[in-house]
Amino acid sequence: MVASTLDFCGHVRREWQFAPRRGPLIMMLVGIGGVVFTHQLLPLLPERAIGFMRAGFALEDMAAVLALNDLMAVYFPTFFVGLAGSLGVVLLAREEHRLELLLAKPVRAAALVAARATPVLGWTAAVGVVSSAAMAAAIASDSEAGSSVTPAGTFGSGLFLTAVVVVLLAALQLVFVKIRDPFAGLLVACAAWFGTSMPTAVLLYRPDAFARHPLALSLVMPNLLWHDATMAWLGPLSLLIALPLAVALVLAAGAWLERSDAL
Amino acid sequence: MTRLQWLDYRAALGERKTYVAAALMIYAVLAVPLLLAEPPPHVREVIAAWLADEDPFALFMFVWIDLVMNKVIAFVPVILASGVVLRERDTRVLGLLAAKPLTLGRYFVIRTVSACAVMLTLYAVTQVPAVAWFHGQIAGFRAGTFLAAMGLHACAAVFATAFAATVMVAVGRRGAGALVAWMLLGVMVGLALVGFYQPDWYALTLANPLTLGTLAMGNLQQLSPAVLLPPMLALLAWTAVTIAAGARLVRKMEV
Repeated sequence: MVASTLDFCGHVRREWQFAPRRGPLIMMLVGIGGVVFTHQLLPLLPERAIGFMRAGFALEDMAAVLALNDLMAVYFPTFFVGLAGSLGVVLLAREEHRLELLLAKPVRAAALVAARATPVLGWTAAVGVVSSAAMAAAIASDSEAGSSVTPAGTFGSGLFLTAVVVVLLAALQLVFVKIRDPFAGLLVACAAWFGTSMPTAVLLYRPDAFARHPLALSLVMPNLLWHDATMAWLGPLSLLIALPLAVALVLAAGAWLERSDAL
Repeated sequence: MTRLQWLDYRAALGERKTYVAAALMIYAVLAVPLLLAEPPPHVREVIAAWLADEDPFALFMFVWIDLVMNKVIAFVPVILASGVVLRERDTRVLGLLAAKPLTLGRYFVIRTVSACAVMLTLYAVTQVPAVAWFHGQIAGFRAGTFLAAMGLHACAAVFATAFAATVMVAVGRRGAGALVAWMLLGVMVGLALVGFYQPDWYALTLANPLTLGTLAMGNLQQLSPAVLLPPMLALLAWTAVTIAAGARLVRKMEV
């Protein structure tokens, strides 16, 4: 008797059933909690601290300062919940000698990696969407803080960051299929995350560096808030584009695993 | 035991992740002077007001601790400690270790102390040579003050490593454990300097162990053993209690 094989969507559905849910659900609450905490804490800081952020990041009012801190509350949990799940796709399975067993299934490595990574990326996107919605609700309820950012714009900014996270994690799978040590994988992922945050730190301490390279301003996080109206539509569109792009990247990672001798 | 501890430390030191972490820290040492070459006036004024110190060296120390080393102790300890005991369990060698005349609790202590020692070594091999580089790059750089302040900060890094190891065994799964450790250390790092921004909360923030690692910043002009020793001792006590809690938790782990 020959067991019938599943198509790719069938594999994704099967992996989705077994994907851990508790972590992402907890991180959704952490994202919401982070937003609430920001909105409770920042108004209690002295004007000098708020002025520092406003001047450093060229923000118009308190609402933008709150939104910038909210964006960190979206970006940090979304990336790290996705990273924790992404490690299990290939790296931990390889270290625990389960990868050979998984690849012995009647399924191509590309489909297997993509099917295992897609639920992780899906849950990552869900954490980002929920955190972004919390951010938009908080900005809407804090209308006295200013009008330089809108709930729709901040929601779009959160979705844009979520799209960045989803694509970044999918791209990291290309590295993970070549690495044997999960700790080295963690370090590479942390370095990549820092790489995306670094331009924002440079803006604070070396704004003159951007005078010579104005295009580089598109890499800093406050840029999302400076273009509030654009982000209202660009954010959702970015996430819609990011999801199939991420699936293509994890399929490529699986194809690379198939051709490597790093099993 | 001492021999086992030494061998485990040497093995941990030789791992690729240690070299990668050292490379990241050396990159930070090389990059920070560029970041501080021309700080804008509003940054200089606000940091001088927070630290009650207009010396450019105070600005450098704020950026070095807040932007660089506090981020290092939010991430690197988790990577160094995330394999303690759980890696052995997941790769099915814990059963073999359990058959040796060594309790699981004691094994956890050895592995965690090794991870803490690797963290200290990373500090030593990056901060000490950094003195020579910073001396020529940072206006008013004071080597003794820098090393004393970073000595205190290294105690916070050791605590963070022990904390990450204990969180890992408390959670029981490597991916989820690393995530929880990152979140908790991220919150501690995020709130570490709030006492400088809002002086009314200064006393309250001392309950945060990672705040204790930054206390040198408020006393850069008169840094002395009286300033450094109490937070150092408090951090060592936090570390010992954390490792003891981890050793207790690991005894309940199913081999």
